[in-house]
Amino acid sequence: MSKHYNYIHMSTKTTKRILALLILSFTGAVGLLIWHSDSPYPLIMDWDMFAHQHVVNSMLQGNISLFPTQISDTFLLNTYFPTFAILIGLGRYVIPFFSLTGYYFVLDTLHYVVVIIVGSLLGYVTTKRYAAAILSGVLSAFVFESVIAHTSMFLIPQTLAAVVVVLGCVLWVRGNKRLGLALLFGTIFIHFVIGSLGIVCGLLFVSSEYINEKFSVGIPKFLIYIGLLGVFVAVIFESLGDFNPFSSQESVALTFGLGEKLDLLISWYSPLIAAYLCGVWRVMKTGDDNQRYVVGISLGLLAAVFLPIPYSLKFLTVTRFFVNVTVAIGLVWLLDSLSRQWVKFVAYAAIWLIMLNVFVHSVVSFKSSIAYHDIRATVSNLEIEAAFFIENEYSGAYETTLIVSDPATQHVFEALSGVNSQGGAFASSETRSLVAKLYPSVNAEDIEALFTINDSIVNSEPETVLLIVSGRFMQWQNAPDDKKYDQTFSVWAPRDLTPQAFEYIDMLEQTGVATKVFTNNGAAVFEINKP
Amino acid sequence: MNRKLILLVIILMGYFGVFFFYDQLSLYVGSYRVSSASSNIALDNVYQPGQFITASMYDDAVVYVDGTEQTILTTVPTINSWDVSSDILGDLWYFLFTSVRTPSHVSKKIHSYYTAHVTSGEITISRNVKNDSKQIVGLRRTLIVPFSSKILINNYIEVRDFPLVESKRFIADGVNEITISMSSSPYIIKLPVKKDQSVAFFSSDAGIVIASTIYFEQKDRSIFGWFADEQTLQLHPYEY
Repeated sequence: MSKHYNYIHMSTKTTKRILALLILSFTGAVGLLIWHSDSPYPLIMDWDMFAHQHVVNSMLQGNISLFPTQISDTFLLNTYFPTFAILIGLGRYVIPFFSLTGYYFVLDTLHYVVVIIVGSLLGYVTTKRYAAAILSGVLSAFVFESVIAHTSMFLIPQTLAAVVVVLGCVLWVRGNKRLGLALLFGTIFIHFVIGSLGIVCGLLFVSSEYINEKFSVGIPKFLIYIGLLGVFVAVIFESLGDFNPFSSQESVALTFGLGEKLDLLISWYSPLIAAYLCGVWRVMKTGDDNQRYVVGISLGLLAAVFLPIPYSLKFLTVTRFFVNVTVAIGLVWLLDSLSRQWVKFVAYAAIWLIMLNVFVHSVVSFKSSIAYHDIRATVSNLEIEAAFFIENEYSGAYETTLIVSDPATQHVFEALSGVNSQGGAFASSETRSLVAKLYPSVNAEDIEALFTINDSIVNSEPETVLLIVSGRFMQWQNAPDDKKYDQTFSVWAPRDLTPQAFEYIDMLEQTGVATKVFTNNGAAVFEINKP
Repeated sequence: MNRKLILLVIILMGYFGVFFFYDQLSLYVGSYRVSSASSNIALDNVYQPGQFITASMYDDAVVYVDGTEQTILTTVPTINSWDVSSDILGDLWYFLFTSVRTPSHVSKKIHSYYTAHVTSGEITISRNVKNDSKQIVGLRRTLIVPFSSKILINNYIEVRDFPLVESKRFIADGVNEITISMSSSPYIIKLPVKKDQSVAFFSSDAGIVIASTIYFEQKDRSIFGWFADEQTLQLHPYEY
């Protein structure tokens, strides 16, 4: 009898596990299909990856340091060690058969799969319920923070660090405490801010275990209340106004009020986010220690998200995993009230469909800034072709050749060609001013003034300037002056050359100091040698 | 607490919430962003933001059987409440069918809504109109393009020097095709025209107006009484 019962029990468990795998695989496949439906291989939608490639390129030229600002002038702040750049740089040697953008395409895709797996694992180890694991995985797949955090779709230091922190928590909860702690404390080498959250989580686990052993006081019982207090304090702080220790235009642009943050959360989660409150309520009433840890951490991290500081939405990269599990707990609790199986099935399907709709909205909203003809990407095949030409002809002269163009073109071409530019997308005001002077009319003096551009890392005047007139360059030149000096403004999407651009290219050729060495419908490259 | 009720409310809010929480999405084709506003379909040149091509209900008019014309919208219209429910899963709909639409309006007994459907290299603007009491036989449709546009008729006659007032217009017959290009767009727009249509060109505050009148046949009328006029704009890469 007992043997027979065990067999049935195991069989049910296996069936549930297979069903969970199938649902999550299907969800992930649908997510990837939607994400890549208008962004074909090898075109990518990642923008930050170009900056990390700048670091890789510069390190390959012997510029080694612990801090990215001392490796590439694309970086204006040190928020992490160059660990991420080293990892992706080394990975390229391990997987050499993809083009550079194709390699990034594969990395981002793998990252999405890992996010779903880690999200559902946290759901499972917290609740021991496959339903919660599935819902947590579905939320991981279909919630896409289209502003700042970008957790699920882009492999960048903050998102990699977030995945490692959550994996550390999963391992700790499962009982693999040493490995869990190693990951939680080790994340600081990938990203300072997210790594700090990892350390806080690690210290929380260790101290709560210690206090429980020494004084028999269960910390998890109080965690939810501490988290709620944290949210309350964050809201009070928010009402006192913004606190911005940075002076950059970007940090000002990326400071959001509480209302805007709540609005974004609802648009990413849909009104299903209301189930979060049910999850908190449920765990407060009947949750075990693991659930209290997860809900308490989710509240504490939400408090950090609500703080009136710039970039606070970046905390969502970690927060979202814990929020997802809490929402899943709330939803499962509500769904358990349905007794008829077919009603339950319809309700699960309805939730899946709502999240799919939300995902489509988030994806389309995000991609609207990188629309290029019928595709969505941050780089075009025409630009890749032009960058390939520059790589072949000029990449051996890193110290003496400088790419000059609008910030976005510099950003993309420096990464893909391996030839340096001043600041990439974060070019200095002096560089922007010199480039702006080249349009609408151009003369030899303005062109020769480009040789005064100085890259703070290479720190020597260039012998050759490669002036790139791209579709982005033309759009940037036609933008109002305040936009040209605004570091939060870039022509994110590729652009083709227009009739107006070809007129300008003819004008440049007539100056006699710029030689056109390459042209296609996306960009013209001019070689200018030092007089 | 009634958990079933909470679940029902959350799910219903999940479906209807899109209407309250989300902005409408735009479509992209060639160098244009295609979006629907309250009363028009607009194509915004993303290479030069602010350059619009517009099909507006305030500029279009229906033609009745007695030969009279009535502008589709003259005042701020009533928006049909059905549109709230049509936004359920609106984003999924948008993604699958790549189309945007204006709300449905009722103004002086004329019901109207416009849609824009995007396929590779083409935008089809559909103007849907009906009047419950008067018989509609045609539609005077207009397209407003930026002043900086270069317009060619049948690919060789360039239309220039538009008169500043609407009463003075340039009218062309025997038009097969109108080509619109802008120096800041890598695409030209081709507008096929039926041979029997006269096309009028004139200026307005918003830009150059390209107007023509088309006539419906009764078989074009849907069972709900709607007439739909489809106008296709073909986008071609500029040949240098």
